[in-house]
Amino acid sequence: MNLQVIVIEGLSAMTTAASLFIIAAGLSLIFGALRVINVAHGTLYMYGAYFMATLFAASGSGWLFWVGLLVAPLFVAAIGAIAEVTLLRRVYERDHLVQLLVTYSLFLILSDLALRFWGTASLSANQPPSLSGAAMVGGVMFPAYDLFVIGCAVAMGLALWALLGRTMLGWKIRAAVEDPETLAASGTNVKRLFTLVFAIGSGLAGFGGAVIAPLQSVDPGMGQSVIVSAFIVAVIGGLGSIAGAAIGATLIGIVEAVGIFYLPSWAPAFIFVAMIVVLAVRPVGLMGQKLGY
Amino acid sequence: MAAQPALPPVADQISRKRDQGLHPAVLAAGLAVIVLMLAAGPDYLGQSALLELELILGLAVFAAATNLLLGYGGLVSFGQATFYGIGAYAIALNWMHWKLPFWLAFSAAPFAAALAAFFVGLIALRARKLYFALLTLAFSQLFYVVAEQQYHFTGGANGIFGKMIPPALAVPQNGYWFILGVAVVALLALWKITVSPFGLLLRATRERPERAESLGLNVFGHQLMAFVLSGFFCGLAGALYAVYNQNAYPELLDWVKSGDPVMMSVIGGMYSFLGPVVGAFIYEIARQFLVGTTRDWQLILGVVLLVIILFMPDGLIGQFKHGLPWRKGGRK
Amino acid sequence: MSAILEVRDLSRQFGGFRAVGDVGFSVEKGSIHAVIGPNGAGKTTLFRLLTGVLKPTTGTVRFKGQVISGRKPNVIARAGLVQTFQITNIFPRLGTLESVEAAIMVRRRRTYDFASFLHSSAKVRAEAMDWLDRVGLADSADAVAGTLSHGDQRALEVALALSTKPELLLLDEPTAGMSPWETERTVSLVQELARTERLTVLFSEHDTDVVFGISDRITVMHRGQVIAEGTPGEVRNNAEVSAVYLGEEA
Repeated sequence: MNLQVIVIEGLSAMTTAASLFIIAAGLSLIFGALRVINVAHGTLYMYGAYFMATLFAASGSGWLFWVGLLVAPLFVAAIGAIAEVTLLRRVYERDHLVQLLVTYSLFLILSDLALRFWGTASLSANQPPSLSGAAMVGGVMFPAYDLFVIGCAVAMGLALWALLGRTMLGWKIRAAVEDPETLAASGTNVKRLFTLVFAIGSGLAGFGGAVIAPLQSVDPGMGQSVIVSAFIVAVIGGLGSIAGAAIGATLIGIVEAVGIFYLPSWAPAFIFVAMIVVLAVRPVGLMGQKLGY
Repeated sequence: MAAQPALPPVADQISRKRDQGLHPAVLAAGLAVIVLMLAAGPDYLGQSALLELELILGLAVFAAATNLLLGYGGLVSFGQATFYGIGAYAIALNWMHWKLPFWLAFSAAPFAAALAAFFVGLIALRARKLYFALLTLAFSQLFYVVAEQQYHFTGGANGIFGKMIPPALAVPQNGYWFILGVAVVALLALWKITVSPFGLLLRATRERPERAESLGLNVFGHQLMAFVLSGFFCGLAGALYAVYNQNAYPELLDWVKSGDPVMMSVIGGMYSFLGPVVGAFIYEIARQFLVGTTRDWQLILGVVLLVIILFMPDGLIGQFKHGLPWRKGGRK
Repeated sequence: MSAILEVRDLSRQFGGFRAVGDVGFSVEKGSIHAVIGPNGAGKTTLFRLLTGVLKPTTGTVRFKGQVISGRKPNVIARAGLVQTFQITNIFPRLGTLESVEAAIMVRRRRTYDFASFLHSSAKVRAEAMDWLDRVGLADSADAVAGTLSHGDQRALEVALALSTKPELLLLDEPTAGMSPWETERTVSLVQELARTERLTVLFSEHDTDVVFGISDRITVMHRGQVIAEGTPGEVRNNAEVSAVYLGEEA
């Protein structure tokens, strides 16, 4: 194997990792503060992708891509906020099965509505002209858009790190789980905080869908398949940990690249094996903490 | 110092008084009548209704077996389709590759599923709560992608189709009676497990595993046994599916399929034995009806599920036992 | 008299915090032995170490001559060392009688019994009824355990532990949250069992009247360490113990 192959494979793995991280980060953020696994997260991601594809169907011009990148997250965040206020808020005190089933119902409802709005045919969104084509990296030609996706993931990771570690809002989000009494005593409106967190997490899913849309076909099954990858990444990293999601995504990106290279017909199984192995060794994921319930 | 584990909210509790269900003798007699009516089905039901019942009976076993974990063990598995699928594949793969007699494959199917459940449980039960649910889901997807990818062995995404059942069973009435008979025996066996000392201790582990352990119970072993038993009966249900449909395909194994018995249990009520069985009938009949009349089957299912979760935490059977809200002024 | 429980150099570290440090004492068979100390003295941690819920950082626990430290909680319980919990720990959605039946089934090693019907096991039912009667819960046999009053839940807690027929019973603040007459009933039951069944009891308690009234021996803990041990009379006159207690109350 020569150097060029390694660079290309490495960049492909990074692209996979980046798209996985973009999906998993929101899931993990929501879990971190609300202790809820959102089964509909993949469907929200799909809404982001559909939003982008619809925008392209309306007009093929490049600048709309940037508009979509800004508006899709807001659109999906709004859906998330509505779902939180009307449904999830009622079940925070109930056990995790109930919460899982509520988000599962949300998954069913949102999937059905997507079918209604967008039909069964697969749509596509194009890359903006400024990002299509190839760029030279380490002596090899690599699709510029893939590099953009990696950049988006890194930017998102840094933004989340800054948000959680450097702002008042971030402190409150962490305190929601670690120290709820102090949080309540500080005069925070916890209800509103939870809605905000759920909206941010949903918005991240919408952003992810919008970014990934030009890379693949947008169809009604994408929410259902992507949520499983998101679970795996978030769980390997440890639910609730953003850094964990980054590590999990990188791990899966590498595992998948190696799998496709050496054993293509078994490669899709590898990520499940990776998750099972990680959890068998560390039942709370790599960066996870024991759940206090 | 350990924090007080939060008591489940009142809404999740079984009735505070003793169950107000039917008298056991009345219930038994009623069920016997229903089984007899089902047995006489070929006399008054059409071909399509019989086929529909064949499917439902298998699903009823699938749901009741899943609920052994869910309702009795408090173990939320999103991976029981793994064992359902293995049961169906055992028959299909035998027909395609090994050509052993059908009856041998049918008898072996639940044991194959139980064996798989043993190994899955060994790993998954080390994790707690959500991690357990997600780990079982991962196993479900693992078997799904393997079945889909290993084209030469499993027929890939299309699965395996063919005359995999003996001619005697291919006669519609015989097939129906066979499935009915096996399903009834399986449900009786599952019920027997739930009312045995094993079943009582399983419920104790659901309530407070660490307390059960402090009384000397090997909680992990107990849960593993429940997982294997559930896998066994899920596998049997899958084998019944292969008899009904004469095929096996990857979607039988995936996580959405694993969600089905969980929903059936929740709809019917997971804190009573018959809940999942009732749930299977309602779920499947409603699905057939809605798929035929509306495009929005999933939407309606989602809304119904939400209503049940939010307002009838013990499902339809629970609602029946507690008394109807407008007659008794709600559950106290 | 011989020691049924011997604790030697037992320590447990949580990060930088030493919850239990170099604790050593032994409990005589058939005695009632109390562990007292102010809040945060390490009593509950000590109990969790004895029952195997926590693993000690260093040190050993011997029960009936066998080293049990490091064994799993269910194995230790099977060997005959059973505890009740300071924070009521029952099976909220099981019936009261059922709960005790469950404990008896574990003792009789019928955990993997699928064959018999629970409701036809008259022997087990009668025994469970008898335990409920002894703790004063006979009238509540049919109630759902989680709906019992706090005091009754404490009593069920004790019945659960007793029905496993332990040789050494660990009671972690058994009378916490009990009314005076419930306390008295529990105390007299413990005394009676110690006498009739040669049951050894190790308990922690806040209520000093109870402690000095029924204990044969008292171990006093403070900040994770044993600061005094002896008969109630010796402990009562111990200057350090008084200082600790007065210091706390001041």
